[in-house]
Amino acid sequence: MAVTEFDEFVKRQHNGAAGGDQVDWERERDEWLAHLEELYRKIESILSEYTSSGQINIRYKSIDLNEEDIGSYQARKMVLRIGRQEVDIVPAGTRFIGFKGYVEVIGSARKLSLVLANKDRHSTLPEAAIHGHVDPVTRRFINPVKHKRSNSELVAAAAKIEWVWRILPRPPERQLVELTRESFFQLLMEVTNG
Amino acid sequence: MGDIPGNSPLFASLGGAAQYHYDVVESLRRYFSPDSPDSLARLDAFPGARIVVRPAEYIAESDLRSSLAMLTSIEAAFQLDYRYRCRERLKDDLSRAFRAIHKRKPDYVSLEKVIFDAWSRHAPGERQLIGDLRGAFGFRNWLAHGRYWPPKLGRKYDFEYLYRLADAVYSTLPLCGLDEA
Repeated sequence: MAVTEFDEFVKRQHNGAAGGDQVDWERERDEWLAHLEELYRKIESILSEYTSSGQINIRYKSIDLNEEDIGSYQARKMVLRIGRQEVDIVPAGTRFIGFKGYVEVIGSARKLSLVLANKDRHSTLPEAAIHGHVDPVTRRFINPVKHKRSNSELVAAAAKIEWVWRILPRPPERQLVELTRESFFQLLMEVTNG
Repeated sequence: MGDIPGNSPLFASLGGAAQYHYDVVESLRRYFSPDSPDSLARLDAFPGARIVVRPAEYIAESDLRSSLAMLTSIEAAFQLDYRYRCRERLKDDLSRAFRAIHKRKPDYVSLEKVIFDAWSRHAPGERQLIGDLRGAFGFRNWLAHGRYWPPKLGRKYDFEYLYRLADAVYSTLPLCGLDEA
């Protein structure tokens, strides 16, 4: 391999690591783990009448996660025991195509997922795909949302985002589903074929 | 939901690819269900053999195969876009950069080293998406080259994630020439 090629490789990696966006990944990880605990509290609350009567049992297990930019860290997975059925609620990571977190709900019949979404986001598609379009002549992507805001405005907007847990539909559906008592019961029935 | 290149008519759309994948998964589940007559007949076909059926492993294998198909479609889309932009002499910065690359290297260009790099530089708003693609192609390389080493990946990859990534790519990036596959 030529030295110049290696030089370019090192520069690329360095520029990538420096990044224009200066993300504080430790903070990202801590926020994601805090939201995960919020989700567990919400599920505990939804299931409280069943757990207090002993019909559903909840326990937690520690798991290792490894993500690009963040590295290795520990999180908890939730295990629901419903009679002979077991459902694992497993954190998968904090990066999932524009979402702030991603959790798998794995039952005996299938797997569905929950995502931590901007409260204003109701589709699996990124914001740009919903509001933007491709100019037919120049083939440039016109994204009115991005063009209207400066970088500092975007950073300020990101800090104000309210994150909520939503159910990710199975492809090809794109519409995110609100996480409510009813939709969570439906999700549990689906993953266990109940 | 746009057409996707480089596959059979069954995979001509993202929706078709998802339908195929989930139908296969559901078929495996039903086939290996204790209530399935097919599953019992399968055991009869191997009398005396101690067959350990692990449907979860079959489903996981199927997920990997569907994931590879999804990733090869994404690769085909970027390669077709590259060729189209070079051939049609489009006037945007990305197309100009591609033509300069094509002049230096008229044969094959690397998706990860050259094409993604140009997209990152000339479509800076989509840098995050291109970063997600770079990660996914580390997974693709592991899959396509026989999985003979322990993969060092920055996240968990599966069909669902790659489907969502492909959907975001086809819906966001101005990829050209996809109908020429």
